[in-house]
Formats: sequence, C-alpha cells, structure tokens
Amino acid sequence: MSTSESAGKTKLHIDPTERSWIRAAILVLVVFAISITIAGFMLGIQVPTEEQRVDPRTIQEELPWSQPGVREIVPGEKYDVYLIAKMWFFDPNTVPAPDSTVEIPTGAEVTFYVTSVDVQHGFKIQGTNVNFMAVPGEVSKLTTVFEEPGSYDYICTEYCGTGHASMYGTVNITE
Amino acid sequence: MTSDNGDETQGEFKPRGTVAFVAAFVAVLMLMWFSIYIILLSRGATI
Amino acid sequence: MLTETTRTPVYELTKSDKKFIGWHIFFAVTALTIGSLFGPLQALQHAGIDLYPDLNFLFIEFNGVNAYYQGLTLHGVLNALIWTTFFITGFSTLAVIRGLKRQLAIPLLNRIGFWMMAVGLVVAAVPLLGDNASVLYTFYPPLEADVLFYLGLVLVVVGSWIEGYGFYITLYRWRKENPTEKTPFITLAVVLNMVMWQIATIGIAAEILGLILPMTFGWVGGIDPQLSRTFFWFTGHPLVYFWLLPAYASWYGMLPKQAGGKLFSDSLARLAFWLFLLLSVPLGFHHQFVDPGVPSGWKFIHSLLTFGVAFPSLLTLFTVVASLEYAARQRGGRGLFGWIRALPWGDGSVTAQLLAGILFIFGGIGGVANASYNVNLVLHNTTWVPGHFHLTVASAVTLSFFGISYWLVPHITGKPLWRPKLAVVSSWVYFAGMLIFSNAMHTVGLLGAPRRTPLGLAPYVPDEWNGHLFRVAVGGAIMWIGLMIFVVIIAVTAWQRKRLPEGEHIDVPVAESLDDPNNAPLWLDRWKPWLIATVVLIILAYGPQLIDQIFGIESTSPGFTPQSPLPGG
Repeated sequence: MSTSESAGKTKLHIDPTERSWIRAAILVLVVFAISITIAGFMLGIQVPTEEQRVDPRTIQEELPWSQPGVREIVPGEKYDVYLIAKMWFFDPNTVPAPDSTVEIPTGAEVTFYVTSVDVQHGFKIQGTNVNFMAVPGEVSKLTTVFEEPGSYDYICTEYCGTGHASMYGTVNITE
Repeated sequence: MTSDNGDETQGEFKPRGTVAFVAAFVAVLMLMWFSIYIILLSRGATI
Repeated sequence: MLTETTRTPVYELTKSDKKFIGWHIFFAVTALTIGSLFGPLQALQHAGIDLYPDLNFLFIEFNGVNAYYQGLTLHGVLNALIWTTFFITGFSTLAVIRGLKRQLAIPLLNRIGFWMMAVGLVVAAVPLLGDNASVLYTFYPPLEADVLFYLGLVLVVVGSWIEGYGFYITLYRWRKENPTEKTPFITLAVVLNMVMWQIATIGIAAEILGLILPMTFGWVGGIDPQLSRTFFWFTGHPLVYFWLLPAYASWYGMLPKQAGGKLFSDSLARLAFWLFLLLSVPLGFHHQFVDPGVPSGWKFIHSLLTFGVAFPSLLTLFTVVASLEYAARQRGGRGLFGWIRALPWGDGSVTAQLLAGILFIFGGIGGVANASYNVNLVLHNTTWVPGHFHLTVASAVTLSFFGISYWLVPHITGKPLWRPKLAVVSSWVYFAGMLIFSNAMHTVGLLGAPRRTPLGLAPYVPDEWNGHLFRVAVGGAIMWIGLMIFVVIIAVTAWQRKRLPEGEHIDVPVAESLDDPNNAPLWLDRWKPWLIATVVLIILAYGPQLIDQIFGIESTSPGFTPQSPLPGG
C-alpha cells in the first residue's frame, strides 16, 4: 500500500509471519473485489445510478407521475412501475391496481421507478434485490424478475416520521 | 509478572497461536461473506 | 494489571488535569446511562411489548408512536454521538499528557473546548426531550428539527475541534523540546484520530451551516436532500473510525501491558494509524450505494477504497492477537489456542477489552459485507445494519471504554475500583446479551426486517420474524443489565469515601514494544507526506462528485416535521 511513499532512511521491519498475513489479508480482499465485480458487471446485479432530477413540488402535475402505477411495455415480458412515496403511504399501494386490466406474470422484467414528494423514504421489495432510497428531487430505478407467483410486500425502510411503520404496499404476480 | 529481560525479540517469539487464530478468522469471514453473496445471486439481476 | 499499584508513578498528572478528564467521563457516562434506557424499550417493542406508556412520567412530552422515534433519537444521539465524543476527548487528553509526560500547552484552550461541548449537549437536549427534534441521529433533511438541535450539535463538534487544537499545540511544543525523540505511540494515535476527525467533520459542517440552517432560518425555500446526504456521509463513515481508533489505541498501546506482555510491533501499529488517516474519509459513498443521485461508478470506487481501509484493521487483528499471545506465553500459556485461557481473565479491564475484540471480529465481517457494493442490496436499511454497528460502536468501542474506565477512574480519582469481580461480570453479561441481540438482528435483517421501525406496530411482519424479534428483546434486556452494572461500579468508585492507601497509585498502562521503536523508519513519524497524501486522495475520490452535486444544487425540498405530512407542519 502506501509504504511506497517511504521517505525514511531505515526500512520498515516486518516479522516474517506477519508479512505472510499481510499477503493473505490482501488476497482475501481481492477475492471479494473480484466477486462483486462479477456480480455487478457480468451478472447484472447493479446498484442504482443517476437517473433523473425532478422537482418534488410539481412532479405530480405531469405524466408519468400524475398517474403512478403499472405500464405494460411488452405484454408478458416488460413492465414499468411508477411509485410515489409520501408521508406515510405509497401511491399506489397495490400493484397492479385492483381495478386494472394489466397483470404482471411470473418471469417478466419489471422496472420500478420511485420518487418522494416530501421527505426521504426507503423502498425494498421483500425477497428481491430491489432495495433503494427514495429521495425527493431524484428518481430511483431498479429492475427485477419475479420468479414465483404470489404477492410481494414493498416496505418503507427509512424513517420518515410518525406513520413510518405502517408504510407499505404489495405487488401481485400472476402465473 | 512480565519478564523484562530486554533480549526478547520478535525473532525468538513465533506467534503460532496467532496464525491459527487468523486462519480461523479467514475461514469464518469467507463463509459468512459468501453466504450473503449467494443470497444476492439467488435474487437475480437488477438491470 | 488493574489491581497492581505502583509507589512511584512514571508521570503524575496534576489534580486539575485529572479533574478535567473526570468531567469528560462524567458527562460521557451520564449520557450513556440516559441514552441506554431506550435500548431495551426499543428491543422489547419489536417483540410486541410496549413499555413507553408506562414511562410517560419520565419525559416532558412522550406520546403514542412518537415515543419510539423520540427515544430512538435520544438513544442514537446520546450513545453514539455524546458518550463517544466526551469519552474520546477525555481519554485523548490523558493519552496526550501521559504519552508526552508533559502538561497541555494551553490548558485554558482545552477547557474552553470542553465546556463548549457541554453547553452544546444541553442546548441540543432541550428540543430532544421536548419531542421537537425526533429526526434520529442522522437527521436526514428535509425532515426538520428545532434549530436548537443543530446549534447544539455544532457546539459539540466545534468544542471537540478546539480540544483538538489544544492537543496539536501541545504536541508541536513537545516536538520542539524533544527534536530527536519519536512521538510516543498512544499520543500519536489519539492526535492522528483528532486530525482525521477534523478533516472528516468538514462534511457535516457544510451540511448544517450551508444547507440546514439556511432552510431552518427561512433564508432559502428548501434544501437539496441528495447533496445533504453526500455531505453527511463524508463525515458519517470516518465518524465510526473516530469512535474506533481510541479503542485500537488501547488495544495496541495499553492492553498488552495490562495482559503482562508487550506490543508485538510498534512500527506496524503506527503504520495502521497512518493508513486510517489516509483512508478513513474518501469512502463515504459506501453508505450511499442505493442513493439515486450518485453515479454507480463512484460507488464502486468507494467500495474498493473501503476494502482498502479494511486492510489496517486486518493488520490490527494480527498485531493485537500476537501481542496477547506473547503475554499469554509469558504467563505460561500453552497450545495452539490454549494460550487464550492464560490471559488475565480475572481482570475486569482486560476482560472487557478481550470481549470487545471478540465481538468486533463479527462486526468487522459484517462491515466488509456492507461495504461490498451490490451485496449491500441484501442488507441496506434492514435490522442487519444496527445489528452490525452494535458490534462495532456498542461493542468494540463501548466495551473497550468500559475496560479503560475500570483503570482510568481509579487513576484520576485515587480511589480503588469498587467490586473488581463484579467488573468482570458486567462485561460478560453485556457480551452475552450482545451475542443474542446482534445475531437475531442480523438474521431477521436478512429476512427483510427494516431498521428504524417499531416492528411491534408494523402491519407487514410475517410470522417467521417473530422468534428472532423475541431474541432481539431478550438480548437487548440482558445488555442493559450488563451496562447498568458498569454504571453502578463507576459511580460508586468515583463517589466512595475510600481512597487508595497513602503513596499508592493506579498507573496508566503503557505497553513497551517487542521491536525497538527507534528502528522504525522516519516516515512513520512525519506528518507532512501523510497529510498531503490524505488531502490528495480525498480530492481524487470525492472532488468530481462534490463539484457535480454542489454546482447542480436544487434546493427544491421544503422542510417537514416528523409529525406532519404538510410542509413546515
């Protein structure tokens, strides 16, 4: 590491056993670094990145945020879901909405777009890798594939005031 | 209690127990880290 | 060892300095006592046992579900921010004076710093106790607290800076007086920690002074929440090293002596601390892996840099264990693992720190998982995270500070430790509670339980969580008992009439090194190259994103109180 910055006259003395440990420790960290690189850049398990800046005061005046919910992009294959996090509920709190004709089937690629119109919230879909912050002024985005039919809760994972503990919703996935 | 005979050096003291200890540590670290990593992989891609 | 007394102390602190350090410990332990009251309440709440209504009489305003978050805010602020900062500045004062065997250069400066911190604590306590600052210890905007909360925090941080200036001037004078001597390890360690802290807190200063106060005073219409997060975490992660490094200083520089041995390698101990200065700050994005407004490339770079800062901790693991093994072998310890039994487990100070180290092994492992970029998706904002940091700040740090207190309070008061055997018990009780608590928190977090949530009230809790939440409650309650035993021992020790016999002292344990510190290379005692490298690395790792976010600022979010979904309500 930074020992290369050596400006001293004398060399750093390291016990031979500890020298071996230093090598082993670096190796372990390199193994982890390679593993996260494989997961991230080869298997597509990525964290959110910069998506879009928005104005939390006016965002609900225009599409798509004036009508949050499911959009069918490619039937049976690709869906977009827009969700607004508010103190202290998600709009909508059921995906797809009960009166909607759209169904999300198992195996479809579902992309979630979430933003907040007041304070910071969290968004985590249980049993999936979708887990991010919902920050006012920013849009968060991640995609997942639901492999089993059933209902999946999405919950608020960041403290957002008095009603935080009851802030959640459900995605329903059909066969 | 300490034998302060001054000529004790690292060279004469071989930390065998320490090597065993850190080896066990690495085993536990790898086991726990990869168990979470496998959960991550099982939940699939996000892009 | 703890019970050993010496007739001739190596260096005797003045009465006034001892009293000054004592005030630090008094404020620290008082904050810990009050803050920890809420720990078991939160833990029991998760298991569906709500004791808050029964404790209404304790609080100015304490009602309904707000009580949980008000208590959680007090728990975080008093334990993680106040107990640590006051203890660390007090312990650092002792390590500077005793290490250099020299009085503080300008004692008044340090006293001004300390009382500024104390005033800050009182100022912040007013809105905290009145439920006007229940924004948790991360106070993420646009959640908004009473302005006194922020002003109090500013006073605490600035006070700690001023105490730091006092250390720098003292060390500078000492180096002038002793141009050929190397800075003693314990002094170097605590001063390095203070320098790191002062660099790191630039982030929180920018957040509070530049973003939050202008909003709170109404000078601007709103705030940029993403930028505030970036500023916060510039400070937020080095903050945990600010807590941890004094414990490391004790493990390297004091514990070997207490265990009857020597420090295995003075040079590597110093190298580890310099690496912490270099690497503690430029990695804050690993707390923002799932933030929408930070490019994923920068997150990945900060993930790798976090692996980098794991390196000096892994170095510490080896050096500290080897120092302890050396001590144990001197005491007749045998076998590959059998030597561990030969350590002085009958000494409350040693036992506390050994158990702190054992818990920290798991804290460190969890930390590496947190730092691992996409792996964080499994863990982020679940109970895994508080499970993790209770193994670090509430174990490695807090339990080590218990251990340090068990010699420090007798040292500064000249009174014998009350019930030394009970001191051993206190750490074991706390350790046992922590094992149960943290294991359950990690497990239920992997199942998806969110942190910062009264799970006893949450409508979405599946049955499979309940067994773990019950263990959270049991572990939390046991930890609290262990902690209260510590508080009682320290209080009775400090206030008893009994004194150490005439002419006897409890000395500060300062470990000698197995290698000769004078053989260490010069660059391990040079500030300039390390400081330059530190600043350069921070600029490289943070500069581009900071410029991007600062120039792209959009102050479009009005403030909200936690109680109302209407802006400013």
